[in-house]
Amino acid sequence: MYWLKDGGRNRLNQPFYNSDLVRGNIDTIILCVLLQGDNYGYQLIKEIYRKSENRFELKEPTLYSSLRRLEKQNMIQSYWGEETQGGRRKYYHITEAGREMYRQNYAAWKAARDLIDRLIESGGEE
Amino acid sequence: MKELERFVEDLFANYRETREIQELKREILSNLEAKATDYIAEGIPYLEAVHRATRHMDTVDFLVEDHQPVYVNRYKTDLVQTALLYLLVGWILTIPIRMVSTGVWVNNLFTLAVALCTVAYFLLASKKDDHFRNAVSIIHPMKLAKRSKAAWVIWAMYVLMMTAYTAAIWFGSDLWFGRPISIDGPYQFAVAAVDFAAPFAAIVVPLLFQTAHRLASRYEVNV
Repeated sequence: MYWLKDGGRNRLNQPFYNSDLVRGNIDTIILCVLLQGDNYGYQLIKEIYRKSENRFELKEPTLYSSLRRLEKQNMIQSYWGEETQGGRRKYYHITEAGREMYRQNYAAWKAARDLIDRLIESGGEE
Repeated sequence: MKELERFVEDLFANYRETREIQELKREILSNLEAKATDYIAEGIPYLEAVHRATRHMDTVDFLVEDHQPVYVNRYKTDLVQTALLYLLVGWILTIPIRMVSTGVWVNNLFTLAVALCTVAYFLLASKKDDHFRNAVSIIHPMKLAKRSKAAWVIWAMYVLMMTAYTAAIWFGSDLWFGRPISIDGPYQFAVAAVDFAAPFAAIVVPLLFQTAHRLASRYEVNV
């Protein structure tokens, strides 16, 4: 399955992306997935992996701390699912405050991205 | 998946079983199970799947809010009282070994500790006003548990080292001093026995660290 490949790394086994930049946006990334519908931990990791085209694998410690932070800030709410088979799962639901936070973070990111593009693009004089 | 259940139990071994911890355990376990099931569906052998599912989960310390408010002065008083009790027992037990010089030294140490502890206890116990009794402070049960474990390890190492040292002195006498040691009567035997037993008296130290951890939950502030 796509899920098993250790994708998104170059020959030096470094990720192709700047992981600090990604890490700073984990909360927004998770909110973005939850905008599509309620979800539980492992499925969030899978969905983010899929959306990144197998380039970014969110690790559990990062996931759980982000979920707890968001829940404490009331950006998301959790509830236990009603699975009949296997263990019950803890689902997360985005709140109105969460949607607003997502919109703001996305706008801020777009503005920063435009600015950085202007500042670091060499204009073909490489 | 028994392996995953055990894995999650081990992750949280240092934490008290609060509601928050139970929920975290259930959430983490259900996610790990889903992940392992995915791996197995890929055709990965069961144990390898379990191993891969758990590889990023090495600690949960960052998830648990381990700040516990306690009635700090009541806690301290109880701790000092327990310390006094241990020291008194140690003092009484070491009286008979005063007949040898090591014993005198150990027993005197206990006497001094008992005296200091008594003074501390009466100072704490004499303050009865509500302001003092209801003072609240934050402690970290996790740290206390770690310290208690460390104290036991250090004590065990100390006892091992001292026993080896005493054995080397006593039974290696022929080698070090060129003449064999002679245990030629009950007194000589007692001297040897006390040399071997004395380091064990330090057990009060790890016991007190353990008490510090155990008592913490008794003086928890219930909000």
